[in-house]
Amino acid sequence: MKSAQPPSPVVLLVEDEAGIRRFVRAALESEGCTVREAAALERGRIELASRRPDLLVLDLGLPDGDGTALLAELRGWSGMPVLVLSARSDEADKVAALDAGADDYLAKPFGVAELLARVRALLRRALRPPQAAACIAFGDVELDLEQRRVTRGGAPVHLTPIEFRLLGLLATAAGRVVTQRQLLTGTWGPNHVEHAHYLRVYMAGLRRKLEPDPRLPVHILTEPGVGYRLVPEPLSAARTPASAPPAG
Amino acid sequence: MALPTPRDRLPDRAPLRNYLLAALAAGAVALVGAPLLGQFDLANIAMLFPLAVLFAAIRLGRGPAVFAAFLAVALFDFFFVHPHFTLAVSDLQYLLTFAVLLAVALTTAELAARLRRERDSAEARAEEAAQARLAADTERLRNTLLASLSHDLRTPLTALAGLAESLPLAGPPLPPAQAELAEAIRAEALRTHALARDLLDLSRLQSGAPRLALDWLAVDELLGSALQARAHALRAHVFALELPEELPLLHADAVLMERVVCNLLDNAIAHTPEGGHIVLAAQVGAGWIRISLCDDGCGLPPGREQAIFERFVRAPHPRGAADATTATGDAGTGLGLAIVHAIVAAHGGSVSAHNRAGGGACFVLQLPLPRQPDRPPPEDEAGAPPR
Repeated sequence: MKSAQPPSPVVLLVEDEAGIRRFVRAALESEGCTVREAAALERGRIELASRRPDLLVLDLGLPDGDGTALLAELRGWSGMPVLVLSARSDEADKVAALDAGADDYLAKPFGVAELLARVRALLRRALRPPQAAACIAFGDVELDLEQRRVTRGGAPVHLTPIEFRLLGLLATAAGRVVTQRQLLTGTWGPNHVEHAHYLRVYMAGLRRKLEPDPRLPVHILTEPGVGYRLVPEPLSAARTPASAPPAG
Repeated sequence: MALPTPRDRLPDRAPLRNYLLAALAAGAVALVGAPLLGQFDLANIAMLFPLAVLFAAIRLGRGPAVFAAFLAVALFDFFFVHPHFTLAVSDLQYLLTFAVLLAVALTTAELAARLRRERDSAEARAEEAAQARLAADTERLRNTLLASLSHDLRTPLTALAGLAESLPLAGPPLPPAQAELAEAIRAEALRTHALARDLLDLSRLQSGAPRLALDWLAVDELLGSALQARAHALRAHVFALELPEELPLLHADAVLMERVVCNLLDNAIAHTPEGGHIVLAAQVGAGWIRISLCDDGCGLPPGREQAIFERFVRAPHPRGAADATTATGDAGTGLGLAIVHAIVAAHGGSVSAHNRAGGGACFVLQLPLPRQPDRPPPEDEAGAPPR
């Protein structure tokens, strides 16, 4: 039942609150992970360098500094997945962490099921060979990034080049949030980061072509104030605590 | 620091008392000059009078100074110029003395009054700057305090909720009664968290000028993400979404507007029995959009339609507050509608509520629509998007 085959993924948890460390550890261990803990940035730095974990779970507000600083350092030498925990209600902090290289975030308070869904998505991507990401399926839609082909229920769907590029950005980050800035830069270039309304127009187009009900989307989700997230399996399934661990 | 009294500020219209004082000053100069007559040259005695004007200009204001200038000329003529004790002038050269005396006196009055005005306005500016600095410091302090309080409350409550939820993960599965207790602890921790969050958000929103992260939002996207967030709680109701084909973009704070829709949904869910109908609709007019959420639940207490937007006012509940809490995870703080009101007001909009003829309540948001932004440039179908 648990994906406890060796080698079990190593997760480094940098968080100053002992209570949170305790339950995050319990949740991650139940998922078959090996958990290392650090209560401050300094200890986190040492653990990162010596343990080379598969995943970093990082609190932003630490006693000896801001987690974003550690994130920026880490991105200088490693692309390991990073999940940010934030007690701040300000969306700007989440966006700053994501733009600084975090792969996803969880706002406190978060539940065990949410935490595990995010961790699974991040580990799946980290432990899977990159070429396997070329084909992605969600709902009745299949997307082949290499062949630039999209089908829905087996029938080809015509996407404009911009729609395809946006969908590609979301799909390569499947399950994770992509910030508005990342989408705008990746599609229109760095001079268009202010053009949020372009995204609104094209996301509406993508949903019309790919969602079962474009007004109540279940795959291309909006994260208000942050960006967009492509969810391969509808969220209700991901939220169920008893959902099966990922294949492989 | 003493507050400026009206007297310290520019006396645009000097009181009668000041004219009297100006007259006294001119009279005093005449009194001082009288015994000097015969020993001093008349031209030198004339030089004493601008002193009275200077005094009047500096201490009493422009009007009294001008008055003193004319009075000085009259007194000089009356007491010192031959023939004495008449306003007649025997030697026409004194007319030149009068003219120069008047010119010097009036210029002095004007210059002194201007200096005085500048000093007063500089003081007022300094005062205003000090006030603004004080306000900014207070606001910064308040926001820092709120942010750290929010952090300090959320962190232990997150731990509490998470620990309760992970209780079954730590050992063998819990017996049903204990699992229920653990779930109750988790729900209470989340409810406390929601209450702390709502209180802090409300005080931030009501702090005068809340900071809004304005961005272009698609209305259907906004409603869609709120519905996604409440999908679980809405399962027990019959829900309908009635939107026009073409919807404009809003210029608003995405997070706050989602909060508005979620709070209204929570409210409708809490006051509508299972199987009841909830309809979310939008209407667009010239320069405005109206978003309405109607249910066929228990409705609002008559006469209290506006009072429900005040803090801690709750309509009577058909199923008890505990039910509402488990349905949405964090309803029932009594602050939800007050937050809706504050957010909508910060966006220049309005929110109102009324009972429907057939039973149930309707909440209507009206928001201003700005001029719509330019559409993205058309795509070159064959190649790369234009840069």
